[in-house]
Amino acid sequence: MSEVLDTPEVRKIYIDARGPRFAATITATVLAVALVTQNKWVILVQALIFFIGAVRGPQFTPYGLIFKKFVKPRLQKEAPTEDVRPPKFAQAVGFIFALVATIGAFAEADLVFTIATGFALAAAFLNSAFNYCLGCEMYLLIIRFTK
Amino acid sequence: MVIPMTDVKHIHIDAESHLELVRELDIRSTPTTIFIDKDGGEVGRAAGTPKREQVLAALAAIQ
Repeated sequence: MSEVLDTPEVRKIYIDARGPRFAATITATVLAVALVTQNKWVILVQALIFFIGAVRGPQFTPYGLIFKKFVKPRLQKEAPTEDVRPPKFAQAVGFIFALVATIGAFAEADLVFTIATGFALAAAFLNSAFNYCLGCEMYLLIIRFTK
Repeated sequence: MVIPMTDVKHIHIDAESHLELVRELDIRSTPTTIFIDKDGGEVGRAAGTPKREQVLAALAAIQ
């Protein structure tokens, strides 16, 4: 017997929980490329992708769309779902780091670029390799203390 | 996760709309599953999506 004490609006914002991890793998790769090549356009593009994820939701980023179109149809098991709000928040955290890195890159502050990109890469790697979403873990704790 | 067990009741609560409960029960991330016995006492909890075996083991421990 199952009962849901959510409002219908809350239930609508559940996404396939496998999507963010897949997206994090691409994110980590892109961030690693940015770090190695020191290419400011790569980090700028990643910042824009984080921005879409933070504003519209991770399922609407190019990585999320790749998951939906090409990966999800090939997965056999029933889709585990998760609340979109923690991963959406994590995208916002990623955006802040990528934004700082982008500003650093264009201002030729190499150390700022390297540190900010490094933090974002570490977080994306944790999500990709261990399914541990740092931003998601922070989310409820922050809400608890601020609301 | 749907397990057909007539003697088990699964209640899903949106954490963000119940922050007073979140603080009282010290919920740190979503989803958190709390296993409660027939007297309303907490007998276990799982942070993150629990695996099917974890759920079955926790429920078996109650009976």
